[in-house]
Amino acid sequence: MPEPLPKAVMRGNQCFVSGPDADRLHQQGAVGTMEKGVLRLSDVEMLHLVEREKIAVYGEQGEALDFPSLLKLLEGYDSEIWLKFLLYSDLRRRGYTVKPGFGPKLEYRVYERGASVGKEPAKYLVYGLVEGKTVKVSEIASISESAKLSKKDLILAVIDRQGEITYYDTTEVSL
Amino acid sequence: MMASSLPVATIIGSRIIVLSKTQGAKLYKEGFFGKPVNIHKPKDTEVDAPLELSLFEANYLLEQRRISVESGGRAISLEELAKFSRENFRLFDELYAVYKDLREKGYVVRPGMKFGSDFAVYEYGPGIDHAPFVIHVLPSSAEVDPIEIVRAGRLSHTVRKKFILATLDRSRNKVLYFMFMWWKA
Repeated sequence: MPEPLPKAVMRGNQCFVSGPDADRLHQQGAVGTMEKGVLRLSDVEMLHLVEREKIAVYGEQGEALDFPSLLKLLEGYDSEIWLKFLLYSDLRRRGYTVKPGFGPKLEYRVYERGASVGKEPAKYLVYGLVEGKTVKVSEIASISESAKLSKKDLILAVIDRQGEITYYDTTEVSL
Repeated sequence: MMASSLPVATIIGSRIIVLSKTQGAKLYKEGFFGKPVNIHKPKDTEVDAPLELSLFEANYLLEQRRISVESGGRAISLEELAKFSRENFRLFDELYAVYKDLREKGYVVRPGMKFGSDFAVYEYGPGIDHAPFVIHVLPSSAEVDPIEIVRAGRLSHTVRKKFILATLDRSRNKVLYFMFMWWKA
């Protein structure tokens, strides 16, 4: 018999894990935020962990919510949840620790592999761009400026029409 | 008079030519300005031909008071030349801002046509440097598909020449240069 998965309860667009699983998930999975022994997971973290079969999510009435039903529920809160999930989980699968960016954009703070999160700052700012949707050159300039101010390397993640992601290290050079 | 000894560039239609071969040769020699007419790869800097200047070069040299520019037998001002240039080259102001910035930094700036870009930038000059930087200029208001970034990243890798995207930030009156390198995540 496989061990039962840690149980999370969804409220709004987040979910919560309590008990001994909370701390373990938080430490080992480098996900969520701990508050008074309860682990709070964000929308993309929840989707990622469900897809990787690391947690089981239930609604407040106790109904089990699988990946497809979670995705549809979360789309109601954020219509771009799919792209956010794609980028988040691609970086996680490559072994990075990923934290949300500061804006509502497709943006993550990414820690070097093996970095101790909380003790050192994120090394990269990863910003998603979507094929078919134009971006102003001035927007790239301002993202680059804000990455520079927070001393992070800017990585532009170009997401193609089928969700394939290619990353480009972007540097402002002085020549 | 000092002014009379300046090389004279003559506007012919939409183009600008230094008709005196000696004056042309001098400009080419003094910083790889212009292109000796019908000499494709000027091997040595002793060229014997009229010299065609790009609009960027003509504006820069006039601004630097290193040439005079005439049209129909009359000397024309920097303002007139800028207006003429805008009428004859797309995105003239953005391209010229980049050209000037690079020249002021001491680079030799040549057309980038054969690399499929706006400018080719040399530290010392064509035929001396191994490979130039390749510069593509976009107005900061331009809306680009992210595919531009992929293209820039690919070109950096394949042509061995650094491919740089340049834009003029008008609010700060500063030229910004960006490099994109494929990141093996």
